[in-house]
Amino acid sequence: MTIQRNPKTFRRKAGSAFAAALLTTATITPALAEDKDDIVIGYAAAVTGALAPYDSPDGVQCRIDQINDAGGVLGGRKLKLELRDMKSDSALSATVGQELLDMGAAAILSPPTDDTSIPIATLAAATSTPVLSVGGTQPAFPLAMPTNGYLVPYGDNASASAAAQYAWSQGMKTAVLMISHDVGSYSLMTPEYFADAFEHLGGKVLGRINYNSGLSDYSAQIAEIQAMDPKPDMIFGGLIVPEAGVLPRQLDAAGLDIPVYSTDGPDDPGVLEISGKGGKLLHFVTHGFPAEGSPLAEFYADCEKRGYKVQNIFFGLGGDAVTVLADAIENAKSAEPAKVNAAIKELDGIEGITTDSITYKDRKGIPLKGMSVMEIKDGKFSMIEPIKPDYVAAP
Amino acid sequence: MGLVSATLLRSLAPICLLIAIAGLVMSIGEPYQIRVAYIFFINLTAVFALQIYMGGTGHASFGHAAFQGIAAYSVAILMTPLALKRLLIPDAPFGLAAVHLGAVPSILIALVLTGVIAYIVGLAISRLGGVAAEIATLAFLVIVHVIFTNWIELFRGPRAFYGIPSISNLYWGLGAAIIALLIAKLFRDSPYGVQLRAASDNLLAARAMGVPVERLRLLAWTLSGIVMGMAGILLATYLGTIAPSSFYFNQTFLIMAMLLLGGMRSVSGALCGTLVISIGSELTRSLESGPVIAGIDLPAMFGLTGFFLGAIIVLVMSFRREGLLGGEEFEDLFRQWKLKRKSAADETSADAPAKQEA
Repeated sequence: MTIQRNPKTFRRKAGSAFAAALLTTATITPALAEDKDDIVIGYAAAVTGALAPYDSPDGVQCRIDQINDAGGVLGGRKLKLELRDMKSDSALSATVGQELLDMGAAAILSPPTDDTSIPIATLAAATSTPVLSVGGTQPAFPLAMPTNGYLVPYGDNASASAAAQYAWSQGMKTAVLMISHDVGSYSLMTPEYFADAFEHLGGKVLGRINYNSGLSDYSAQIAEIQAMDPKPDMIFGGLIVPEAGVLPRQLDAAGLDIPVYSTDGPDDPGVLEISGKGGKLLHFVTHGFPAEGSPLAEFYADCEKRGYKVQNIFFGLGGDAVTVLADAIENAKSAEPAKVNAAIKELDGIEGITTDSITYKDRKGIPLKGMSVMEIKDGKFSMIEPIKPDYVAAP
Repeated sequence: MGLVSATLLRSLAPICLLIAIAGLVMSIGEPYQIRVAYIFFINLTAVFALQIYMGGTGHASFGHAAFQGIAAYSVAILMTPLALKRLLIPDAPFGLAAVHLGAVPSILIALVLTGVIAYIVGLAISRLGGVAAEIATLAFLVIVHVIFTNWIELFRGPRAFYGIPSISNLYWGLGAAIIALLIAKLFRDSPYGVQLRAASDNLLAARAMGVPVERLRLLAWTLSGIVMGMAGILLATYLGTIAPSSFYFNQTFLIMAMLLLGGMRSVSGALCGTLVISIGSELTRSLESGPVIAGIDLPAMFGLTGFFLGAIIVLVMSFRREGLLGGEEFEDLFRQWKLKRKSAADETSADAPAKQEA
C-alpha cells in the first residue's frame, strides 16, 4: 500500500516546526550562576565520541563539590562547573571553548588530545586564560601553547622514562618497540621516549615492530619477535585496550616468557579479562593506584558516597585538575584568568589526589608527578612500587 | 536569458538567505555563535560540493572528506610560518620545510593540487558505476587517511598540525558558500549537468543519445573535489589546527546526512538539509547542558544531539525518501505554487459567471 501525502501540508508543518525551533532557541538561557561571586570553571569535555573514556566530568564535579562543601576558595567563594560536550570533534571543541570564554571562565579544562586542546588554548591566549588538558599525556599540547597550555597528567615522556627506569632495575638490557600510528602520538612517540631513556641508562633497542591498534590477533608481530636473534629481554609499546591484553595473552600462549611494558593505556579493567593467564607478563606505569588509605582511595570512596560512579583513573585526574586550579586561585588571591595562569606556573609540590606531589614550576606546562608501577596479580591490578624518574626524555 | 544570468537570478533567494544569516549572527550573535555560523558555512560548502557529484551521478561518495583534508594540509604546509615549520616538520620532503607563501598563492596552489589529485583519481572512479564506484570512493578516503597518518615527515602523522595563520572570518565562510552554491547550480542546470542526471536516471538511453557519461562523471568529480577543497581551506584557516581525524568518517557521514536529508538531487535541498541539521544540532546541544527554559531548570542530557540526528534521518528516510525538497529547487517549488494559485483562481473565476447565469 502506498501512503499518499500532501507535500504542501508537509512543507507547512515543516515550516511551523522550524519557526518553533527558532523561537525555542531564542528563549533558552544557560543555567544562571546562583551567585555572581561564583568562580566559573569551564570544561570542554569529550562526554560522547571516541575520546569519552579519557575525560571525567564526574571526577571534576565531585572535587568541586568537596571544595565547595569545605567552604569554597578565597574565603567563601564557590566554584561552579560549566560543562559542555565537544563530542570528540576539534571544530566543535573550539566553538565550545569560545562559549566557555564568553561565560567568563576563570580557567578551562580541555579534552585529551592536542588537536582538540590547541584550538581552545589559542582562543584563550588573548585573555591569558589557562587551559588544562584533564586526560592528555601528549607533551605536544603545552609545547605548542607555552603561555597557557598545561597537562594535568604527567607527559608520555615522563611515564616512558619511568618505565625504562623500572625495566632497567629489573635487569632488562634489550628491548623491542611496538610502534603504531593509530592512537595519536601516544602509540607513536611514547616508545621513542622509552628508547631515549632506556639507552640513556645503557639499554639497547633491538628493533621496532609495526602494528595496528584494536585488533584481536597479533600473531604476526609475535612471530617476528620469535624469529629475532638474540631475543629481546622485554617489549615496550604505547598500548591500549584491547592490544594491551591480547599481546601478553598471545605471547603466553606461544610460550614466550617476554615481559610487556607500557604506560597508562592498559589501566582499564577490560585488560584483566582480555589478558587472561598472559596478564602476568604485563607491567605498566600509571598515574596512581587507589591503595588502602591513599588520597585516591579516599577520594573514590567519598565520591561514591556522594552518588558518583568511578569509571577509571581519569576520574582521579579530574579531581587533580580542580585541585590544581583551586590551589592556583588561592595563591593568586584572585580568580582573574591571567593571575590564575601565572599562579599555576609557580605551583611547586602541591598534594594531589592521584599522587602526593604535583609540580608545574619550571616544567613548561608538563607537571612533574609521582607515578605507580603496576602489575596484574590474581586477576587484579596491584601496585609494585611508586616511582619518579631520575632522567626524563626530552618531549 | 543565458545560463549564467538565469542561474544568478535563480540563486538570488538562497544567497539573500545566507547573507541574512551571516548579517544576523554578526550583529546580534555572541562570539561562540559566530563560530557556530562559521562551521555551518564550512559544512554548507562541503555539502554543495558533495551535491555536485552525488546529485549529478546518483552515486554516493564516501571519499569527499579526503579532498577537504588534502586542501587543508596543503595550505597548512605552505602558509605556516617557517620558524614553527622547522619545529613541526623539519624533515619535510621536497624542501617544503623552507617554503613559506602568502595566503592567496597558498590557497590557489591548494585548490589546483586538490583539483589535479581529484582528476587523477577520477580517471579510475568515473569508469565505474553503482556500488563499485561507491566502494572506490570509500577506498580513496581510507588511502588518503593512511597517508596522512603515516607520512610523518610531511603531515606529522596522527599528531595535530598547528600554527596555521587563522586569517579567515565569517565573511570568508559566507563568500565560499555562495561561490559553492553558484558552481553547484551552474553545473546542475548546464547541459553537462542535465546530461549527467539523465544518465543517472537511465544509463543506456543516455549513452544511446550520445551522452559521454564517463567524461561527465570525471568533470563532476573533479569540480566537486575542488569545491570540497574550499571547505578544507576554510577549516584550516579558521581553527589554525588540523589533524587527520578531522577528515575521516565523522565528517563524511555528517555531510552525507545533511545532503540526503535535504534531497541530493537539488542544490536547494542541500541548503535545507544543512540548515535543518545545523540548527537542530545547535538547539539540542544547548539543551544538553541543562539550561533554564521559562524558569524550569532542565537536567543535563548529554548525547541528545546524536539522538536528534539519528531520529531526524530515520524519520525523513522513512517518510520522504527523496529528501525534504524531493529533488526540487526553490524556483521549481515557487513555480508549482504559482501554477496552483493560478489554477485555483481560474476555477473560482470560471465558477463565478456560471453562478451569475444561474
